Amino acid sequence: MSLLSTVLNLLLYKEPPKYDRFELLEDEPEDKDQKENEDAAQPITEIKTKVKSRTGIFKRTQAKPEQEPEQGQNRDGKVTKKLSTNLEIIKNELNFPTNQDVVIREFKIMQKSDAFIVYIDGMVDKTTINDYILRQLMAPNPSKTAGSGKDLIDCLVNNLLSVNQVTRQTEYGQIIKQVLSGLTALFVEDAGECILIESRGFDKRNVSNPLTETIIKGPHEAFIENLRTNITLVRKIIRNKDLVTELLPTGKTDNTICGIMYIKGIVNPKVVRELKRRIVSIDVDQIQGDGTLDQLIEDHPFSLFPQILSTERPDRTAYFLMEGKAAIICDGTPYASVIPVTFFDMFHTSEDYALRWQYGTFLRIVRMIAACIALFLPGMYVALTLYHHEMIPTELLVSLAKAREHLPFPTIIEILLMEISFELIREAGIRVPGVIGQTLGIIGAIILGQAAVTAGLVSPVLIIVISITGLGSFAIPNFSLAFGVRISRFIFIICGAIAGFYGIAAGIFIFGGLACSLKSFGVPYFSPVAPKTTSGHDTIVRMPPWMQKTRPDFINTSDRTRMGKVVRGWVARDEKETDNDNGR
Amino acid sequence: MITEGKIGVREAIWLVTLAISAKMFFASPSMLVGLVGNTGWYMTLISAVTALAGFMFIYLLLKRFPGRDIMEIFDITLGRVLGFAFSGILAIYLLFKAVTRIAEFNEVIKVYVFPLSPNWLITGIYVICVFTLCILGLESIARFAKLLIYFMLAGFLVVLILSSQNYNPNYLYPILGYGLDKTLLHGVVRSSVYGEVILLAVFAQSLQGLKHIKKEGVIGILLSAVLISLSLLSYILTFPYYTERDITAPMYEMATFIDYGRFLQRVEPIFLFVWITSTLISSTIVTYSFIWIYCRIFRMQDKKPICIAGCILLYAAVLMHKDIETVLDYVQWLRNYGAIFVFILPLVSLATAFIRKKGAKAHA
Repeated sequence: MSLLSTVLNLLLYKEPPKYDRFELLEDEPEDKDQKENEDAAQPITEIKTKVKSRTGIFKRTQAKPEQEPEQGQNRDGKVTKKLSTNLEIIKNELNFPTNQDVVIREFKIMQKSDAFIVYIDGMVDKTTINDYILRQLMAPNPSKTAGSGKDLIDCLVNNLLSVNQVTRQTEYGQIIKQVLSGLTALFVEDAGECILIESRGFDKRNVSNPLTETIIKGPHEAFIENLRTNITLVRKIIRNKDLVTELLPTGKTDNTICGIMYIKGIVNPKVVRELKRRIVSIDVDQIQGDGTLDQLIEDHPFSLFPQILSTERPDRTAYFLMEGKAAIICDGTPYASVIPVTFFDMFHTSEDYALRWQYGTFLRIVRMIAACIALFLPGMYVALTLYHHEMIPTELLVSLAKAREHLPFPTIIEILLMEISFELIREAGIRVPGVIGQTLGIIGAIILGQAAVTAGLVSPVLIIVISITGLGSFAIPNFSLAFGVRISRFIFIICGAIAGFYGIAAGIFIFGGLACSLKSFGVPYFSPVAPKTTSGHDTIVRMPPWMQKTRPDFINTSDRTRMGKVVRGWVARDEKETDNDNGR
Repeated sequence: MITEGKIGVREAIWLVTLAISAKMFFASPSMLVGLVGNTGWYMTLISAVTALAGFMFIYLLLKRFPGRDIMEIFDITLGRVLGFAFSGILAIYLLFKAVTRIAEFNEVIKVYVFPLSPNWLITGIYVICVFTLCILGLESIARFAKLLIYFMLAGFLVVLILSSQNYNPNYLYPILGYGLDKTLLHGVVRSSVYGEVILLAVFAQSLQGLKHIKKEGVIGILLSAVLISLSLLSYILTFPYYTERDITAPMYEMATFIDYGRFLQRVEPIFLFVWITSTLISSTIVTYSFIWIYCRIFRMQDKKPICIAGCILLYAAVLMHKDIETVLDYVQWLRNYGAIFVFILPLVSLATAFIRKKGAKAHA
């Protein structure tokens, strides 16, 4: 029966499902944008509500019959007035005492009211807990008036807890999530709410140099695995009150927090709303950092081209934010994901902006040529040697023929053999630790290449082709795009082997068409070239800074202008003076 | 679902230009020499002027029914049955045009580049490319055309400039060819060379409005006229009259003659990229317009099944021709009578709209 239905499914026509595709159209005027800007943060409450309902924490609690409230506890996941009930719920939720990371400390506030705190060992700063929470709360303090219940909570928040950040919370879903992220929760008898005290203090790596986006001129800071630090690194660069960070929990089980950063008043609110909509709609157990999240929210997950740009540099993230884009930083990953992006953004680096515009432009052109070499050179070599001998100058053709005279393999096998060996060396070099890895890469390539030529397995020209291809792929600044190019290269080799330049042209046609159909959060992938829009003079050729007066048109930012009419006032003054002199 | 996005003015201009000017890579120039001698380079300008006049009728028709494409207009002006017939004829004409272009490409590439490769393989690869882009839709085709145009123009100009070493101004004489009357007559009759401008009427709803359609059509025709005229001029300047009639792919031949010392010679495989990609774009958009019209006249909401069927039909039809001579006969027929399909049908519709008082002006 299932076989029959499979066959029927294959043969019979079905209406395609309707997809709600997000498009960033050029429509609304600036004033409407401003209104939407104000509304941009509004959906966060709805989002949180949705997230709350997805977490499933309370579904589990309520499912257990022994946890039925005795008195005072409501069924919608709120903190009750009875401390023992709260304690029981917390113990159940955090699997205490099986879970030995959880610490629950019961005590009396000012030696009168019953209370307990709960935190995760290792994620908190013990000095804060000992000196600024427990010592303050447990000391008899007749000068501070303290009632009970809500009054006591007010008193604690206003007078006793000398910690920089405290919040009141009644929802268990939120309390559990915050405790798991390193906050300390304080429950008090008869209060009906809990105090969340900022006490995060887990070990983290120091801010260090970038590993994959190294540059010569410019800042040398990179993101680390801590979300707060990463946000601070960006904030350190953009000291603007309108730089907004919204925190969203993702992942049903691991509750990974991801921060959405954007500049209110510059970013298109539709982009932020769409981004939040996509993140909130994700229903998975675990988000393993930005890599997983990117795949879950990108427009075309089957494409080889990345539609979200991942960077480990805070300065680059800040530049994108200033350009009107939004960034997503996941807790636990040293990368920021930027949306929306175009194909040309993949060839930009921070260094382009630190260098003079001519040098930056030159570097970009070099990178584009490198990408073309990495993508097409092996395929072209195959096409040339198999189909288009007439194009090779006679002397070169003779030396090529001589080199290939005693080779046992056809060109296609020869090139695939070497390409796969090169990929092996590259992968092995990364997996082997430290200096050995680098040595393995270099020695492996040299020895293997030399040995293959000596053994008469491949021609020396091929080694040159493979080496230049490898160099080309290393010169592509975006890691994801470089991966796409590495994979596509094999397809072009096969295209070249099947039909020479015709096959490669057909491959370019199909790849190009597919790439042109891509969109990154509603923005066409090849903007501003196809479709043609105003580029902001920073696509391939980077014009001098004072000429980049507007932000790219295709992002539809709320504020299009980046600079004043006279960017370099001193030039204008000089010109004015010259005019006056001429007038005299 | 058929939900085509909008395409910009520049995309539309380059799409039309590419669709029209891809002909210069094939046998059309040598056919022209057979008809009008060495006056082809300015005969094509006469054709362009005629095509501009024809396009004005199309524009007037679209202006009378703003926001509608030509299939809807045929339905409104001529009634459902006749409108269906007119749209159907246009669709078949476009399919036939795509078939002849691919067959022409197939034969020429077999002659010059892959003499041993079977027809089914060359056509198969071609149709796969066309199919992929048809599935992706108009937006992707237009964007890709816009992206490629820089490389194509560069490749085209490089061939023209590098070929200048072989130019001989004496080949332009006699300047009037077989006579001005013949040049004028063929110039008017062969206005269908610019017939792809009808695509603007087919995709009118995806363009940016009437004002832009006029601009796109006029600029598209003029740009194509310049490109075709330049290529014909360089062809006439390169080869003596008595050999021009026998060359199947003049641009390719011109590329083979380029020789600037030992290293810069035999650059025709590089020219292959320009040739193949521009022909692919051209035939893809023509095929897609056939699929589009077909879906519209049968009120079909999903174009994908028609893309599959259309491309299978295309593949089969391309393989059906007997030899290159047959294909060239088809091309000749299309050039001579194509204007009826692209310019006369809209003219009939416009006249009917006037008579039956249909359209915006009638209600004004």
